[in-house]
Amino acid sequence: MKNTRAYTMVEIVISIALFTVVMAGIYGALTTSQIIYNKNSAFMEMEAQCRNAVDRIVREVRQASSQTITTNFNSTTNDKIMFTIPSAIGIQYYLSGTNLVRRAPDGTTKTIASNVDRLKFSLTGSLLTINVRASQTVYQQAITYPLIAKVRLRNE
Amino acid sequence: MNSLHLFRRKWCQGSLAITFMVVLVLTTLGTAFLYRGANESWLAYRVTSSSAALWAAEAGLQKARWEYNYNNCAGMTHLDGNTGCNGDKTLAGTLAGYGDYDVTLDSTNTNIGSTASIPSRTAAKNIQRKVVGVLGKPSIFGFGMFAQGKVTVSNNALVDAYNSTAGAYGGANVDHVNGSVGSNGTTAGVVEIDNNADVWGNVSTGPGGSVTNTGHVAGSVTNTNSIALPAVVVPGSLSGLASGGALSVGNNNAYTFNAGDYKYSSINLGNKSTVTVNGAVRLYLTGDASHTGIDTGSGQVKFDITAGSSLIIYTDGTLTFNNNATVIVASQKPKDLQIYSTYTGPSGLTLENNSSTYAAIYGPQTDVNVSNNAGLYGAVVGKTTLLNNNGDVHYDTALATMANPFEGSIISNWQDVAL
Repeated sequence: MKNTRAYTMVEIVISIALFTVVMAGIYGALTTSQIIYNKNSAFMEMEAQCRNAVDRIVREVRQASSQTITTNFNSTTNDKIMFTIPSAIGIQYYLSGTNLVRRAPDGTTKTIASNVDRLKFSLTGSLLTINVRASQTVYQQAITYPLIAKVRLRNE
Repeated sequence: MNSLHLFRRKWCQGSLAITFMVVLVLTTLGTAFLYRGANESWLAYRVTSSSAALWAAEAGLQKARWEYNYNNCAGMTHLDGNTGCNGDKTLAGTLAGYGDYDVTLDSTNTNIGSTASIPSRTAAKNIQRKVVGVLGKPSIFGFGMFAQGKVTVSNNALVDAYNSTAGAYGGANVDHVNGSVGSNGTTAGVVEIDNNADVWGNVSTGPGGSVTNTGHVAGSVTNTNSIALPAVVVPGSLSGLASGGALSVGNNNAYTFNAGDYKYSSINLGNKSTVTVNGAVRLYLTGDASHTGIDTGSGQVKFDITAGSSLIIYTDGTLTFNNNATVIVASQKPKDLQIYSTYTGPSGLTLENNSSTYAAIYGPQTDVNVSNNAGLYGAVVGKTTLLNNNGDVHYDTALATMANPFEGSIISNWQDVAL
């Protein structure tokens, strides 16, 4: 009767050992999943921010003309663009550190994307090319998201 | 044996608990991924639909523009019983498989707007974009001097501006901002400002072009021009006329054009001859065997565009006003003497050694030379343009609002409006 109510030491040790191995496996799997999830999330967040920011720039700058755009094209540093559209004069986009910033004509600024390390523009006739790259380090691994958009200026 | 059985039972219970935990974790993760995926999918749908709506709205805008330019608005719905392009109008259309657009064009045929709905205008949760613009014909005279290629302003020449609707040039009606010079050229030195020349405005070239400046430029220098210079199109009502051949006006003789349309191969003017324009005259010169339209080489020829009159010249040949030719525009408004050249050879339009005159000169496929004159009030557009030897150009800013006669209306001030 006693034998049916208790474990031997060997049984307990084996159980704990097996439990530890299983939990370690689960923990490892979960940790790996979490890392992958975080990396993917960071990448997707970066991609979403970049796409939103570029979409915003495209939507506004499409209303400009090449005559009203000024920028430091072909500079070795990141570009700053300023343009005029029918409803606003002097909208600016530029990098402040790694923040992509929009400056409204009244001087107010708003960060529209973070972790941006490259912002370049080139203008050929009425075709403006926007080159944005975001970079981030997640779990000691650098991830980058480059995005190039071309927009035909509509008010030529 | 019993101990082993109990161990197996407990082990199974433990495994069940662990399995349950794993399933729970995986379910939570799976739900999170599914939620995120659905969210991304919805966002992607919105972005795609929004983009589709933009281009559908643009399609509506272009369809309405076509209706206005080429179909007398016959395909549009009139809101107030008018016909043609009179009154307020709408245009509804469907792009099969994409969505609908609804366009409005007001009674002035100026303000145009187009709203597109994806997947349809009646769908409960449709995605909409709206674009608006101004329908009009942009002027081809946006600069004091403009050329497809080389522009030269030299030897004390001056370019400034005034507004002919505010009166004669001078005093307060001298504009030291808008006397601009430009080129679409993309080569080094395509614009030359030299030998004490003054440009009271901006100077611009095409991408890659540059300005050689040893004179004075009051405004900015930019290099982004890509300005369409439409080809000259002679109106059918002129080109369809029977030609009067070569019109000759003998020495000291006079000839009068009364209001109307005329077509000649050329006009040959004798020494001290006078041509008078009474009323609104349109003149089409097809050019003689030597491609000459008008040549005042005999000397001291006088062109007199009387008060209330205007002259529009279309020429397929060369047009030369020189040797002390006098071109009088009584209204002192450049719009009352418009010269359009289809000539594609060199030196198609020349004004030199004359007294001052008022004119808007457009020859995008030939060289335009304005030299040794007292001054030109108006604007000059050519394949190349030369302003030399005290030949001043006083750009009339009123020309910037003069409708382009060679193209249908286009949409400017285009705006993507938030809904």
